[in-house]
Amino acid sequence: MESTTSVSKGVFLFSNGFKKTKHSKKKPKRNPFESLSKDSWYKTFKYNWNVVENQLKELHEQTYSILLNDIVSYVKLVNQEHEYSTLEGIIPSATLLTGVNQPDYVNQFLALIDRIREDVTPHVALINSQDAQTVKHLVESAVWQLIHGQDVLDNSANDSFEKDSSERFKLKKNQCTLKTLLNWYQAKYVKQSPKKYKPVAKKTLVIIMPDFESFNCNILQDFVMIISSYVQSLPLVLIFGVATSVSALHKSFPYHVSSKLLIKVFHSHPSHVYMNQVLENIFLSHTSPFHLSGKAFELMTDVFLFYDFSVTGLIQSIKYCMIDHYYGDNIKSLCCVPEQLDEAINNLTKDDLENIRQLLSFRPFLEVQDCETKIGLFEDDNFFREILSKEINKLHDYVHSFYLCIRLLSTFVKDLPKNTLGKTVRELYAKCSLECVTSTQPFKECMQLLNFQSQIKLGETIKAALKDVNTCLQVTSPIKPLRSTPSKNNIHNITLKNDLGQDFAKTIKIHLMTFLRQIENASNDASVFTNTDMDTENDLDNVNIPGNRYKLKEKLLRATRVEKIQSEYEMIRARFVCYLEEVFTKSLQPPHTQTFHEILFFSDVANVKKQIVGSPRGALHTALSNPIHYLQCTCCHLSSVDSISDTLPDVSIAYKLHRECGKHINLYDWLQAFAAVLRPDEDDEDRYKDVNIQVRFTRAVSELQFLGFIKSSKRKTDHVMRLTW
Amino acid sequence: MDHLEDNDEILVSPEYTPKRLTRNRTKPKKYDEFLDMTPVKRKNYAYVESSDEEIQENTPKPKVLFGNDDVDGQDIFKFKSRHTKNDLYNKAKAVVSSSINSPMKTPRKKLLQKVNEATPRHVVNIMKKKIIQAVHSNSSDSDFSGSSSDFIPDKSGDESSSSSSGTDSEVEEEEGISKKGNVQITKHRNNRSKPKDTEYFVTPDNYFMMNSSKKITTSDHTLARLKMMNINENMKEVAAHMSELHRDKVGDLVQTYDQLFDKWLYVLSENFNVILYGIGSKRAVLQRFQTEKFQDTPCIVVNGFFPSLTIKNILETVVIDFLENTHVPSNIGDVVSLIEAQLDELGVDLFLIVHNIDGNMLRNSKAQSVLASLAQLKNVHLIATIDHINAPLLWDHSKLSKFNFTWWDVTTFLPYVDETSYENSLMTQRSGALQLSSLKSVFQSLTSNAKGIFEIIIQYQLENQKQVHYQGLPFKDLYSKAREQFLVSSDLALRAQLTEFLDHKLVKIKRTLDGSENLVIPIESSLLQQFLDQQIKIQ
Repeated sequence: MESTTSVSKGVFLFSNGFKKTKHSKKKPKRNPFESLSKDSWYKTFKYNWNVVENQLKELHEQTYSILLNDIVSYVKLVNQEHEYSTLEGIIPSATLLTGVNQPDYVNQFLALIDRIREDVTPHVALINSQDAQTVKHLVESAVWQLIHGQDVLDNSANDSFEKDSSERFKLKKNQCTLKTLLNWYQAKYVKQSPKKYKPVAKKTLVIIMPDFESFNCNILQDFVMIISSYVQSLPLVLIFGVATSVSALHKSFPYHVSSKLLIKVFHSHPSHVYMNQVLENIFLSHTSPFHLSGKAFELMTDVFLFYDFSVTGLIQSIKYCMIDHYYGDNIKSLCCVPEQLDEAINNLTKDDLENIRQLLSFRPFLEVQDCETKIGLFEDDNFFREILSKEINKLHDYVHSFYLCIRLLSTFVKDLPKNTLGKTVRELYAKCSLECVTSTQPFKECMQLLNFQSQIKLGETIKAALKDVNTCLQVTSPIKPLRSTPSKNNIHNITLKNDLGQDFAKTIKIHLMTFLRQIENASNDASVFTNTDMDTENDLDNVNIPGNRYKLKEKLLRATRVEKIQSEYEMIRARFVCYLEEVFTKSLQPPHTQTFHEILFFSDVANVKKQIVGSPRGALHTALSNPIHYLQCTCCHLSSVDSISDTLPDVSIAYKLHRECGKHINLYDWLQAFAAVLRPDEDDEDRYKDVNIQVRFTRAVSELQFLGFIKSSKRKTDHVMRLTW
Repeated sequence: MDHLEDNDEILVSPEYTPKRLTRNRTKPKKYDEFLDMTPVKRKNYAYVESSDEEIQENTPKPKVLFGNDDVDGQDIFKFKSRHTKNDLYNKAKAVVSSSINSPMKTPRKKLLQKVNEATPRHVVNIMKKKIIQAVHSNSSDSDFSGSSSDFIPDKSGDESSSSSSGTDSEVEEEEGISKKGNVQITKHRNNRSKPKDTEYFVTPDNYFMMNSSKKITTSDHTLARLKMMNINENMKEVAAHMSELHRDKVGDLVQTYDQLFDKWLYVLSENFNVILYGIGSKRAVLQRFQTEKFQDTPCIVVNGFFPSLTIKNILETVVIDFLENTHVPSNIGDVVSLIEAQLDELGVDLFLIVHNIDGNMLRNSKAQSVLASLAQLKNVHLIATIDHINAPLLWDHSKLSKFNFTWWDVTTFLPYVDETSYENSLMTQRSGALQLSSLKSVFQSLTSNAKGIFEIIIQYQLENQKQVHYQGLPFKDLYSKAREQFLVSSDLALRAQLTEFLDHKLVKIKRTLDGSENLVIPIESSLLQQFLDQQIKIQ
């Protein structure tokens, strides 16, 4: 391979035998990723990720659809009304309030364009702020897209326009002005339409600016003013994507401009709602075999909430976790949907099985077994396979009921005061997967609070909970696992937990329904009961109005005693809460207590965090102030971070010395200090004469400059400026 | 405070301790002291404290984001309130003395004795003070080592520490009254306890105090004091210095990165891009990556540090050299969509290796947005390195989301040989070796008459430069002097000679207010003197 250092060029192409002309023959050879695709973990990863991606797509469509329909119908409306609009020079415009992280909304705008193309008009232009440095550029790209957007469709639609469009393709960008647009539009619609079509066929021209805030507002003002003078003859509609709030629009447009706009505001989901949706519907569900452990999950949400607020970023991070989870580990091919599990287990090699036996979570499982089974587990691969399949299916069942119970818990808990456990499913998930939530104080408090809930409220929550259970059951029913219960050998010896999973959900459903019925029925009795109580008390009150302090006390005492007698409703409620507690304790065990949880749950947070968050500055600092961290050498032990020894790399010495200085550094003094560190025992004069030291110093300084710690300064001779504090 | 912490401990699993909490609580001693001494600020301080607590209670905190292995911000962004001329000297001296006397023991104590040798009374004082402190305050941090890690939040954390700092200041006041040598103490305190100077809580006043004075408080030494060897030539010969042991260790370190190649490839295949950071040249690592993995795949290597690189170069290489088109469309968006369409059609993956994506010529938003939109393409895979500490500031969130980076710490400690070879190193530039040698080479090509003329100007400049408003040698004077030495015979001939100097920028013409032309050599006088000396030696 030839060298890539040159004084005349900075870009080097290694085509490595690639020729554009004869690509078709050698094509298969050329994929560097091919080596990856053989392994089974890779296949499983691919499969699972594709599933997730499809789900995401669906979710996107769902979330966008309502909003997009609104906008499209607005544009349609404008289109129809335009004929009779009497207002002069007023541009109808829609403002779409997006979240602050705009890259998330690119897809939304693309979907919007597709929708408008389909339903309203083929003439849509999407202009990003970087394409609009000047008004000229803005107009050019808008007009070009408006005219050519038509052609793209026409080319595919009918050939009669072919000649026309090819002619138009010659239209250069710099010829695109609003005048050309006007001419083109009139040629296309106004002149033709009386003959061929009805006048309704006039199509609206839509211009979309997805990132309003990054536009130069003077340019936008001019643009709006220019357009407003054309709006009489051209049916234009503007759509702005605004990240912050509508006031941004008013701030950047003075009155004379904003008076030309007829603004209608649309709201899209704020980022965090969107995030919750993505998490709850896709990642926090049993449908995907890959799960994040509590910590990993917290990392993801922390990055979202505290760094970037970007849902795309979140999805990419999770994808990265998934990549890392599967990478190079064949036993992770077991992390698949239950239907493929048996096949995956059969494909495992002896080594893979051995690796599985090494898993930490296998040990507690092993300890419970009797001797014979233990030996079987280690000696007999087939037996081990069976157990494995059983256990992983059990794990899937566990996951199923775990998520179900988290959802249930969130339904019960979210309306409680103080929110000790958190409002959203994701918060609950983070808590439950870190520790055994049922033994914590907040959980107990929540249960207590539930014990005070009113009848109607409780009834409603149970209904909501039933809905959760139903959706959960619906989702699973189509892919109901067809499990052959392996009941050979000494499988009976293995202690089984109480069954979780599907059946569990069903029993919960039944129980909830009975409780609901009981509570609803109990309502009348209970209320009557309390009412009579109240009445008697009222009587007492009437009697005792002029009573003394003693009587009052007595009355209060009696009141407490009366309350102790539970109404029917209260009894049922208490039973219900007990039941809930029982259910949750059973199913909300944290994942790390489960056998083989390593296979389904990703928990290597520390590793992934470096790749997702990255800390270039921290790495530099560590390397410079404590090189031993990277070098692992024996010579550079430092007593504190600030101390210097002469064995350190040169850059590191120079760096530490420079931290002692203020904004300006005298190179001569720096060199002196540097030399003093390196040659402590020599005479001052000798040191500085050493060319070697000068060269080393020079190199260190120039590296620091390259790293951006210092720069040359003209304030004083032989001084450099420090760029950090 | 306490119950809060309890809460957190429940929330977070036991092996993990919440970083942020501890960080918030441990205020550097110096700051407390400072506030205690200035009563005006105390109110402010109290306010900050309360609002801090409020925030802690009400807002959610990141739980996993800050781990134990993170670098403490206080370490990196150390803020020294005042710098003196002697800081560097003291530091160096500290190192020297510690290394001579006791290479392994804690340097601070040694240093103490060493520096304060002249005034042993201070040592006594300090010892006394420490004893008093130890008696007065039971809190764990009686000495001034402000390293945040050894602060133990005991039950009476806040009170005891504040009381201890109170006693501190008392002690200091006493000292100030009783001892006359106080000034010296404070001077030496700088190196006695370095952490005292670290203040993470930057008060704006401090910043302005530091930056307000235009005066640069450094010594007036210049490099001219060195007997300057011609470093520029030696630079190349002397290989970067590294001890044997370090060379081995660096070798090992670099070797470990080879294991990441497969993973990078995997990550790249999933449409992530790879960015490498950490000190040391990462060229070698990437070159090995390239030779190992991209033997059969088209890839483009970009040297971001190349001083005349433009983003157009990169696009041209892709569009013309690689995709064999005839020209590059002028609009950036068109180029990107062209590349996307053609790569997609060919079904080829293009790998873009960018050494120093933060290079000087790529440090503009246009270049970065082009790179970002290239990196976003499905068939383009970017592997980039960064070295500059502020490199991440190049990207806003939209660029970042396009880049979709995974970050990899690839610290190599290898010298930046190629990366810095283009740039004039500060030192050589300063020392003027380059100027000197170019001056020499131009001078040697001159005719003897021209040399004479140039020497006249040099001499005049050296003699008269001390004047406050040195304007340069007036043309008339030069003419008469040159005529005296029979160097030129006419005004025109002199001008002809001068054009040569002007072309090589050896001489500048300044016009004065009265319209006369003055000639100045834009080179420092010390260099000129050196040059002149050498010329005399040769002759």
